[in-house]
Amino acid sequence: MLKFHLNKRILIGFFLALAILCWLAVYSYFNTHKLISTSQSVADTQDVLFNAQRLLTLAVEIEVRQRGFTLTGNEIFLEPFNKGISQIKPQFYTLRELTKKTGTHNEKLERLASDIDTLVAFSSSVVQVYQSSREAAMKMNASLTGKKSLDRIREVIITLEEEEKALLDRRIKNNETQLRKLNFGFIALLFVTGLIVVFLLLAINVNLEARNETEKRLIRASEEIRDLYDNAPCGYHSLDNEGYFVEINKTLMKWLGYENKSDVIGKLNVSQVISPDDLNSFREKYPAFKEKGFINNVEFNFRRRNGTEFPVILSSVAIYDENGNFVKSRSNSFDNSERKMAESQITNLNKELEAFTYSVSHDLRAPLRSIDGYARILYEDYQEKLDAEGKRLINVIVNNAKRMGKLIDDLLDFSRLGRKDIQWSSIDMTGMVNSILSEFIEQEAQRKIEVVIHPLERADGDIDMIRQVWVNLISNAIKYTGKKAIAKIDIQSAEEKEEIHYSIADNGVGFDMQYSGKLFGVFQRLHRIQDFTGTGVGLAIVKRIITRHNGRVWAEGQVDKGATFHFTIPKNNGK
Amino acid sequence: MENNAVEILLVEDNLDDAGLTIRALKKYNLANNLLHLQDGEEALNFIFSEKLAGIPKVILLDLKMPKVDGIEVLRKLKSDEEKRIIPVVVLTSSREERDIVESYKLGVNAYIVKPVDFDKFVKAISEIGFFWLLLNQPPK
Repeated sequence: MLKFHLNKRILIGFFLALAILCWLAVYSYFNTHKLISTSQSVADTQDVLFNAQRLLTLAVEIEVRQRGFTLTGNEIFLEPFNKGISQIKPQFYTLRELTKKTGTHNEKLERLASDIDTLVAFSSSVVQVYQSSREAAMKMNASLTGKKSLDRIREVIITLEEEEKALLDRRIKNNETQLRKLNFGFIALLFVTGLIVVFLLLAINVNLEARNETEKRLIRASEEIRDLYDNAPCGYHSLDNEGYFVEINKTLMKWLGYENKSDVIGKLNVSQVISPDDLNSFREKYPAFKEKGFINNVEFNFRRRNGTEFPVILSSVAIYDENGNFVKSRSNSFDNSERKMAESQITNLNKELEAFTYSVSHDLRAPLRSIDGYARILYEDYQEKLDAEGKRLINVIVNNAKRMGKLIDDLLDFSRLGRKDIQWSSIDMTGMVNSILSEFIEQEAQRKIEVVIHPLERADGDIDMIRQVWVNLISNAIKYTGKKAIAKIDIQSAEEKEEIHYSIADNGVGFDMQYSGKLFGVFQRLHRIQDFTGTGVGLAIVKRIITRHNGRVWAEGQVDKGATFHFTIPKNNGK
Repeated sequence: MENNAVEILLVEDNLDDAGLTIRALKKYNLANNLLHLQDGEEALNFIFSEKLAGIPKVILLDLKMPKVDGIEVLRKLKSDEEKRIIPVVVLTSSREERDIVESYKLGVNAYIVKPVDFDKFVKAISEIGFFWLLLNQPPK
């Protein structure tokens, strides 16, 4: 179907101009027609005049020839006379026929007919009478009947001619007025049409100007998009079904060492770009990708034109036609060199850290053992020689050595946590907490400890690590309720929308909330060592484990009113 | 000591640690036939020497030593058709998982982490002594 791209005003103007022109055509056609018919009627009038004149001539001929004959008796007059007699009637009929169109002369024609009849009858009878009696004929002549008829005929014809002429005049005048009117209307409408056309021209011009502007904006926008595509800080490309490049941006070309797109588009196959080491893996993945429609963050090595290689991270989506056939890929790639380098640095750092912790565990512990051991030997072997202060000093040495040993062990535990892989399984929390608590309570048999364990939700996590969390939290609860006559511990869990929330509340010494931020830091302690033993690593370990389990940990407390520790573990963890 | 076959071979580079071990064993009278060597090279030389009379009832082996370390000593011993029957107990400060696993892969007979606490240390050493010298039946 024909579709219009012009705006409404222009269309309306166009159709208006068209309508006016059509109307002008029709109008002028009818007026021309009228002109033609006017000319026709002028011709008709002239025809009438001619025939009327001829009729008159015939009538005169009849009367004159009859008189001539009867005066002279010469037969020479008879031939034109008879010709007139025989022709006058048909001539009358012709005239009547011609004037029928106007139809205004009926009465005159009737009179004319009777006068002609009278003339013909009179003249014929005069000629006839003349054959037998010249005198009788002369007498008849003297009656002037023929002349009178002829005069009437002449009079009628003259009237008729005058009327016809007047009619012709009217017609011509009328015609002129019409022509003038027509011309005026024609010019006025042409002027209007001209105005419309000028308006259309202006409107189309404005339209075109807007279109030009839009086109320019489009070009600018597409240039911007092209610039974005070409100079983005990552590589973009598209591959066809066979793995040939159909699109590529400048960034990727630069990475690969190509100058011109014409060297790449349709000519370079991705198998020439993928490192030979990764080619098999690529050939496996490409058909699967075409089937599946996308691939995310796969690592490949790309080979530059000069043969050197660099690592990339590649993501692609597949583009299909309406029949679901693969058309091309749309891929982006990031230069992964820096990350790879960082990764290897991290690996090195981890190795260094491991070496460090290894030597810490070995080299720091050995001298401590000696300090402790030899101080004890000193005590055992020389106790008779030592006074009370000497013995107390040895005790200080031994206690500090022990404490440092504990610190080192805890620190090593803590650092080991970061390196250990999580072994995911579903954990029976209730069973775990019960078994831990019964061990602790056995050790604290002399104390009064009331424990409430609500049924606990299961969670997904590393059994050893989560056990460590509960051990640390429960031992804290038992430790910090040590000064209460009756220790109360309440352990519960709640299933929330996306995680399971565990908490352990005690009625111990609690803590000041303004220091709550320090609770989970390594070696951070809120109590003096004389009041409560400990290295300040337990809660840091808890935090590290829970963080590695993608959970959160926090605490609430009030001095002397107890503390509540909370942690959460997401549902469907590790999947 | 030369007259008696070596019952306990202590391979330990740290003299202070060795002193503590020996004292703990002595306390229970278990150190009568003990030879202390200070690194892996000495230990290998001793064990693979022609003059070795009999075989020790147990080798107490430290892991981290200069020159040839404990793991290397263990590998050499356990890959030797003749010497692999000698019981080896790793006595070390290292609780590193990879050390433990590596030692067992090489065929160690026991792996003991030396306690820092002296009481626990004495207890551990004396139990090792009792077990390997008195309870355990070594190959002839």
